[in-house]
Amino acid sequence: MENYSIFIVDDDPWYGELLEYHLSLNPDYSVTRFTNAKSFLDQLQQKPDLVTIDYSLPGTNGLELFSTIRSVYPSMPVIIISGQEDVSTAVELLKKGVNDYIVKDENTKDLLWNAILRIRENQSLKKEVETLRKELSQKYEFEKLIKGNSPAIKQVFGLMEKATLANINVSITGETGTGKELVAKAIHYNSNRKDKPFMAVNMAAIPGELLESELFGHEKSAFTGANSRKIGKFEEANKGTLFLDEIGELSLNLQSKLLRVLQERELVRVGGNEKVKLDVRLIVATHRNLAEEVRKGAFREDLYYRIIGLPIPLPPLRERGNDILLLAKFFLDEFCRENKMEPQLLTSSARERLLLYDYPGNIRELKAMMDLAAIMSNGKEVTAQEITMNATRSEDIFTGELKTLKEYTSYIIGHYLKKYNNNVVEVANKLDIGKSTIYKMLQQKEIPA
Amino acid sequence: MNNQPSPLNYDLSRLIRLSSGNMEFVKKMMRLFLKQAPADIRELEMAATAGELQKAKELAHRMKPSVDNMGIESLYTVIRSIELYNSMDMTPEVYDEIQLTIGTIRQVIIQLEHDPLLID
Repeated sequence: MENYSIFIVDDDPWYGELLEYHLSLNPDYSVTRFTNAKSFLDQLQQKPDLVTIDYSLPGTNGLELFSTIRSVYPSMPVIIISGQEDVSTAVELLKKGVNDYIVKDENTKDLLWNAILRIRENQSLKKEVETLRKELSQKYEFEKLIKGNSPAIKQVFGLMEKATLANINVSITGETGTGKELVAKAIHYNSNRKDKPFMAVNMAAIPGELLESELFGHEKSAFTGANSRKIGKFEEANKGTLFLDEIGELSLNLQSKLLRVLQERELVRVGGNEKVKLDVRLIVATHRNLAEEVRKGAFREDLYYRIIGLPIPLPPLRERGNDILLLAKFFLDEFCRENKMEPQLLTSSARERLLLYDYPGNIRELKAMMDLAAIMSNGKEVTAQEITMNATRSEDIFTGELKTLKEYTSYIIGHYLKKYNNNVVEVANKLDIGKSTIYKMLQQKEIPA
Repeated sequence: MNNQPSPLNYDLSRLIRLSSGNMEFVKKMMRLFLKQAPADIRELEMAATAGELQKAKELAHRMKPSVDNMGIESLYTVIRSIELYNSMDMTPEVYDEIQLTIGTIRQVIIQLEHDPLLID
């Protein structure tokens, strides 16, 4: 590890020596001493990790020297060490951004050590945040995030690009597994809000009675069990982006509350009175046809127009042609790399089979298929045999080979019996058929096991 | 005639404490004081003679940490009084304080030169 370099500027060589001694007790520190501002400024281009300055220097003072340093290196930490305990000077210096103000007395050594430790912790956290931000923004570059060359996906890239340029709300629609949240993240991390939070809430995953406080927060004692104040996702996302997934599942009651928050650009936490100003960019997603929901009266029209903003429809995988193969190879390579396996090839039979399927679970399903194929293969290549289509989905029966009505009926009843633990009465009620019909089919072994 | 040695005008206990008992470092700081202090009092003398109060105040400010850490207790108040003296001109009062400082530091220099720590 490189040493942490500290420059000491003090016109009193005796005191400078004392400071150097204290700091040099830490073997990680490399200390250089200067007795005047000029000799220090001549070496400033060496970019020390930290500078300590005596406030009273011949021909200048700590504030002037501090301003000079910050004009060249705006984030270089500076500690002023003064022979004078002067509260107003200390406050002025701290307001201007000096990291610490320490008086020369018996406690200087300990105060200086602690101040440097604090600054180093801060510096290391800042570095970590910068690295993570950089990684995030690279991770969310459109082309890295969403693979594909098909015209359908290129149209999506075009819309995402537009969404990053303006602060307009965005509504993403698409079947399950098409990557709605990834698109939302990519828009956020490529927009001018990228350094602010991205918060995501799935409306379908949170019970209705908890959703209001999840979104808007609550005050202590707002309801039984509210033992402390909770900040809602809207507040957490302030200045950033809030992604509301499955917005179509929101109850009418919460829809009106959401509408009010969006109109007023402020919220009141549940059980509270204080108004909290909001500056949140909203991205919503749903697998439903919201316009249809509005027509049915299940979704408020005024809220619909408020959130619809820039619509981005995500194409289902089956409409993306050769993107299927590109994605399949990408997932195969990724799985092999993550599991330290040799890269595998996709045989032409596997490619044909992949192109014939219609992927009701979209990209999520394709990824699961490729993970399994990588495991089932001979370790060198994936053939059609290892491509296992998902047979558990009820839709498969309708997209595959044509069957008779009797066969469809048997399949559906079998599916429901499995779902309801072979409770014939419940299944009969659900399907609105006589239970004797089910018993008869079971007796005649017409229902698949 | 009194043959009793005059009491020491300095006390190294604070410096020893600050250096966590590192006597080599203490000796280094004593030598540094011996090297630096004559120049300081020469400058202080010149400022006093020339009536340059501001210069004297700046010197007092600079000398204060070494006066404190070398344990020159008799100057703790005096050096601060010079540093913070509220006047535009050199007054007889501050002039006397400067002379007291110069005299005391001269004595400290002589005593330090004979300190057993440095002689060993």
